[in-house]
Amino acid sequence: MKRNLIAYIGLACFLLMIATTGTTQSLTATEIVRRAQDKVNGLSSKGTLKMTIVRPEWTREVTMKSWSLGSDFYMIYITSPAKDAGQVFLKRYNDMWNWMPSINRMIKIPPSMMGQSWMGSDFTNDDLVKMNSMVDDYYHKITGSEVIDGYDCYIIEFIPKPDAAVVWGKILVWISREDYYELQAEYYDEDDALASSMKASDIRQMGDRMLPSRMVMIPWDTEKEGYETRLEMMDTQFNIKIEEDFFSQQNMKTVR
Amino acid sequence: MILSIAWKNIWRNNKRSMVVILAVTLGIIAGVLLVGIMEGWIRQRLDSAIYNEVSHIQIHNADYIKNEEINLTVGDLDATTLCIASLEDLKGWVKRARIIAMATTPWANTGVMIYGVDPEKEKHITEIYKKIVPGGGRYLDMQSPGDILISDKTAEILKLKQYIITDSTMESLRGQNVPESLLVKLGTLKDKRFRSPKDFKEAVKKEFSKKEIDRYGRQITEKALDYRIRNKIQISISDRDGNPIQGIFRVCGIYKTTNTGFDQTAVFVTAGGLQKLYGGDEILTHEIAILLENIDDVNKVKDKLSGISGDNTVDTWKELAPDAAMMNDFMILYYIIFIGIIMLALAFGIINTMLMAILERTKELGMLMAIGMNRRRIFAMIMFETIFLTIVGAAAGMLSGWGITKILGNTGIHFTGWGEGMEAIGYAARVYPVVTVEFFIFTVIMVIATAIVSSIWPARKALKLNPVEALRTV
Repeated sequence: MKRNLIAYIGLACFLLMIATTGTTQSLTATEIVRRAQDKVNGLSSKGTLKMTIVRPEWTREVTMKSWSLGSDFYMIYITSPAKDAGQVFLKRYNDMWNWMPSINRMIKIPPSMMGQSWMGSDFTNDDLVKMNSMVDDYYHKITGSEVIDGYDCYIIEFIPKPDAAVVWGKILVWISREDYYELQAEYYDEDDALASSMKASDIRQMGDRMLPSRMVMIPWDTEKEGYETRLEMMDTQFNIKIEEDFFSQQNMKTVR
Repeated sequence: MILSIAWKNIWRNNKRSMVVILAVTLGIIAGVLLVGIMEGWIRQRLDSAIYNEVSHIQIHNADYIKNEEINLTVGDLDATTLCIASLEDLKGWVKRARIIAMATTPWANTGVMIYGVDPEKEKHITEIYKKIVPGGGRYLDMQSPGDILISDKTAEILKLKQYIITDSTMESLRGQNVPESLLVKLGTLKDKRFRSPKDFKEAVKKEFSKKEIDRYGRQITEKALDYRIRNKIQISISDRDGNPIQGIFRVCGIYKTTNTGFDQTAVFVTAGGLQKLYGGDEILTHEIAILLENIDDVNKVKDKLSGISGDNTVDTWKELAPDAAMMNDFMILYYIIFIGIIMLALAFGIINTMLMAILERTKELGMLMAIGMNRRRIFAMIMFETIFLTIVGAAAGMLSGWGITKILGNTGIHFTGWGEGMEAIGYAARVYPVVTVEFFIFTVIMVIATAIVSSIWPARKALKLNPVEALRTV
């Protein structure tokens, strides 16, 4: 649920990316994480996303267009279902706004609403805004390796630093040895119980690069059996030309 | 003379008189108990409202009441505190920060009102420190600014309450005489963690028969409950510039008052700990709470404070907890309604009995008139008979009613099945009935009035008798 999700939605940040330089030997865990993250910082993108919310009794699909610039700016325009179509979400740094054309209102999402589910999914508003630094807020340690979907991965354990505003007890992240794709992440509470997990798959060419194009989020709560949220990138371009002032409240009302 | 005749007359027909007396007794007991429970409830709500929640008087920035923003602190803090310090008849006062926040754990999140308090001073004003649940850690202290005190309800929402059967759980259940066969079955659930009471109950249901659950279910659930003290809670607030900021606090204790509504939102941290989160070098004060020696002084003190308060609003507990205030003010109405209905019913019984008595004693009354007893005395005699009947019953009723409420007042009445619903609207599930002196005085007046009113008809009937005819009746 909560995580640095911006990534998913604001695209591309989270997992990934680009083939690199990097020799694979004897990198420190922190260096591996840094490489995985560095690839995305400052990246701009534009694309179409499909989010599928799975519940025991029903599933629901939401499609949207998104624009992003680094991790501080993104804008999401909902295209379907009809009920929500036209809604726009804007994130600038730590703030988030919601434009609802049906009632002609702009809402700044207050802290008290941050905990609410975003569009009925397993993500909360907070997940979209919060930017804990995966590099600075944690101690990293390589605890093993495992092959996932044919990719040889490091398993890296993230332990929050004492002062970091992080709720997790620990996070395990699977990062591929080659190309540093983040393929899987598991979030644990302080009693070492799995709270939620994320899996990325289907790495394919998107725009000028190879990226995992599907992500699945599963909350591991006994009361939430059969819950999951899937995110699929339909077509996405990276390194597009987009300015910071594209991400403005005025533009929210006109963007299509 | 008339008095003693009337008294003796009552006991000429023991059975009939006893029936009426008993009816009155039972009626009064019912009334005393009902009112006792109501009064107990309302008092508990009042005490809880004043000593856990709002104190007697609070001062806020006038705009803060409308819009609880971090920048709307109490204005003219120095002047205001000086004025408060100069007040007489004060039990104490305290400053607090009070900010809307979101609390997050790995499992859930919820909106809360976070209070930044001075734990030592707070102990003189609110009794939250006495409300720490068993096994629920401790109250805040100055030495640990990273601590947070949350309620049982908040712990439940944030999934910081878990159910787990460990060796020590088994041991303490064994100590409570739970049969060995049950413990063996319980062993199958050992060391499994259940994050919600629902899950745990379902698991227990699978293992045990309904009878066993009815008998031991509560004990098992109580013992298996484990608060995850020291767990992290992430608090998000907007700082003074409106930027969202997050901080981590660790749970030091769990409290529980009788008002779930209050519990659900209020979480407490030390003023210093909260200041570290919102930054800056001063500790913000959004709320000043004042406790008086005497609750009747509130309006006087409010007027005094309003005079100097400038941009601040001064509110009494009646404005801050209007539900409790309303109940408190309506109490007298409840007395009148309850006792009134009971008395009305009794009055008919008494009238009936007295009319019967007169019918039976027509010849005797005729005789008394014939030998020269005047009408006033006849009237007085009948009236006194009625009053004696009623008062004997009322005295017995009040005495036993008082005794019963005294006993129940110590043990309390537990409304198990409805507890949750009542606590949701702020009323305790365990009620300690009380009866006040005022209530007794009120009841005595009502009883005497009833007696007089219900004696009029029989007495008039006696007066209308013609001595000659009356003498002739068989």
